Amino acid sequence: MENIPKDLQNVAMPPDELERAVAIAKPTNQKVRKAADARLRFDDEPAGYLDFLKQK
Amino acid sequence: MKALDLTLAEAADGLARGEFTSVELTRAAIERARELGPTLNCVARLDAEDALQQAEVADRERKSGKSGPLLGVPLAHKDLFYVRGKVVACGSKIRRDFVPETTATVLTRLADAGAVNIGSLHMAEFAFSPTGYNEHYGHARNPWDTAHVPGGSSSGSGAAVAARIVYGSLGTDTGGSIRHPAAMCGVTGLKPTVTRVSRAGAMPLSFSLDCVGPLARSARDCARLMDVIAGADAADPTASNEPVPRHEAALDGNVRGLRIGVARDYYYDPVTLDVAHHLQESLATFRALGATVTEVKVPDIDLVNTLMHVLMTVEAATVHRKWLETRRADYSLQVRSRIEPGLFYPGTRYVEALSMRAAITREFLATAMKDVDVLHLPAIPIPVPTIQESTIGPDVMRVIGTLGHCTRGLNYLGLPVIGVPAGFDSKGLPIGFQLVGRPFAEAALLKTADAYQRVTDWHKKKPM
Repeated sequence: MENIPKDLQNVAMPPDELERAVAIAKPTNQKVRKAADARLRFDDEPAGYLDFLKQK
Repeated sequence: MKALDLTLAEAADGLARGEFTSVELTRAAIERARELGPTLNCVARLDAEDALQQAEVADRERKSGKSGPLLGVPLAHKDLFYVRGKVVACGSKIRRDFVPETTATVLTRLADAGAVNIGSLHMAEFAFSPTGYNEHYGHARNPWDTAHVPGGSSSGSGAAVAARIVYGSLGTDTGGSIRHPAAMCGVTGLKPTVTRVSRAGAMPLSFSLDCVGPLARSARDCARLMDVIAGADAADPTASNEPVPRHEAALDGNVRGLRIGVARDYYYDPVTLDVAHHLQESLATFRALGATVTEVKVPDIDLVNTLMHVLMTVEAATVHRKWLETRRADYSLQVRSRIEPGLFYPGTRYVEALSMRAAITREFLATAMKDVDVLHLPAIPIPVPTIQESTIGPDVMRVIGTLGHCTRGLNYLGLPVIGVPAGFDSKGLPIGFQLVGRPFAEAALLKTADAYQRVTDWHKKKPM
């Protein structure tokens, strides 16, 4: 698990289910971080998508 | 009753000409829901008495000179649209007794246009399944063959429209939940541009991705429903202020010169021969109508799917977090398993996925759609699976993943997509294609699908 202490999750999950969810999240986290490093500019921010839709 | 075989537009026009009354149509729809509802497990709640009262009002209003695009037409909708004072369970055990205090904006707009609401339709638990999987209330069934899934999550909508119980239905689409049942039940379904249709009063799955849209028997029917439901809404600040075109008025049957792009990379990877054959036939039909068809390249859709997954699961986990703590056992394992990874993405990953959305959508439009007006893609790349294939055994997750192969990334891009019936496989189950447009180009998609349906009759086939 990346960056998230268990006590901050605050959702009771059995250990095997916790492991399974983390196993799905871990490669996804890495893939998104890698894509963000390659693509995101300083001025990119979430609201930009709605602006984009308006322009189109 | 023969009138239930009409399309929504034909029924509305027949009502306007006085060929039948709303009470007659509504009574027939209720009877058919009672007859087929249990076999297909597609009705969540039938409001027979209320519906007949609405129909009587519609008939009286027509007599007094009122008209409307849907006046007196019986419809029913996915059981996640809030109806004040009625139980709206969202296919879940957790909301089994939930009675909202408000009505969804889209249902109010349909009622204002004169539509009759006969009840609510079954769905996958909390809209989490491309098959219609529901452990709590049983799986809905495909009207073409009840051993097969109807597609989900708007499973009851697809089944009820195909089975001629209602003329049309609203569903929601977060990763394909309108297009899957449309493809698997052989009806037409439109996922509009994200924010085109108000989501106020619709139980959310993922607010960045959720879209409300129609399922009906033809593109014309979907256009008529879009004319009523699309547009800004004070109750939903995310609903777009973009002017709403007259969708139905744009249907002129002319696609001469339309540029259609076919993206074989990625989208055709898992396509079976049976499906590919019908996709090619549909392209040949468009060519015969005067459209041009060219091959195009698409950007990295695996990345798009990954970013979609982050948005969907984080937003769903946010909606469900309290219930995951307090009512964990009340979720089916399949649904809980799809929500829980959302608890393990850092905020930075989520914001990155949101922040890349404009750039990646711009890239998609600048590459895949640079020289074309619409993209033509498979809807589901494999034949409609059986309920058994999609619930038991080692292949379950592969089957579920493959069903969303061609649909889910398009929700991240936010683009409008229409699903159109295009034939039947060797077992007699429907096959369909998707047409993808530029933002807010719903009218162009409906016009293209309507032109196809003027020269084909796949959408007129009746399962039972």
